[in-house]
Amino acid sequence: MLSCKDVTRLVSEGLDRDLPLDRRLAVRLHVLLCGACRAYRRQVILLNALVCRRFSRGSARLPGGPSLSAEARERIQASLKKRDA
Amino acid sequence: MTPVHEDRPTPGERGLSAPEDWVDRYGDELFRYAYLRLRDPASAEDAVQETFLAAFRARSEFQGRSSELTWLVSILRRKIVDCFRRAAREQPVVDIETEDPEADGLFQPNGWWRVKPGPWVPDAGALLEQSEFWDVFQGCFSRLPPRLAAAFSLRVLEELEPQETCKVLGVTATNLGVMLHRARARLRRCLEARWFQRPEGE
Repeated sequence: MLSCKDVTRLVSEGLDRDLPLDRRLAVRLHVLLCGACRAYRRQVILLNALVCRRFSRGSARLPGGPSLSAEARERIQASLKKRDA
Repeated sequence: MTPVHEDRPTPGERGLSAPEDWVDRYGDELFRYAYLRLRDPASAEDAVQETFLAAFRARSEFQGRSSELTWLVSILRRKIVDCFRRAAREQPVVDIETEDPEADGLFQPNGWWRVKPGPWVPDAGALLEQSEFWDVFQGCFSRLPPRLAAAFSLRVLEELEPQETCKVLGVTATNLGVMLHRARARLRRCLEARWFQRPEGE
């Protein structure tokens, strides 16, 4: 039987590729019997989904947060002007 | 919102606003996008500058099918990947397989939990809209070691395929798997401590 440590690793792997059937079944069996791993799996999968939705491709519109400093703004503006000329 | 620039209606610049307005219009948003992923203001500023310069050179290719911002972000994304690639070349990963002390603390030698995950069940819909949660998330993300953060940025935030992520970072698929696993485990643990199990449940 897989250890809890193995299961956490496989939960992550499962987010990046399809696990072979025997691994999938082993994880499923383990979390059926182990509440801690069940919680871990649910939380990691959910956090992953949240992050994907929040930062999905092209969604640059993040309200608030840091802005370009005045110096950077000027520097970039100047570099563009140089090209523009 | 869109000022008309009658003085510079060059052919091939359909729908594209004047480059001198770009920094004011899009600078902050592009900077935030880059800063979140690169976690370093100077690198983020450089990426934004490179993006505007590349956009300027390629301005005749702007099709007007997507918004200006979307177009600029697509350029910025390539600059961000370049930045990670350069960083990975300068400091190649060595012996990633060595055990992660933090992860080890979570488990007993036999692989069973030492510190079990808490029983929290997030309300996904509510969290997505809660800016305080995302502030905490960014705090946790900023505490990740650089390589783990790079792997997470490229694979999860930028949604690169694992194979592509490996190429950019110059690591094997196994190494990437270890890095992503550690990044996710640390983020989960940090969010548990700082958000889901705060002393006074908000």
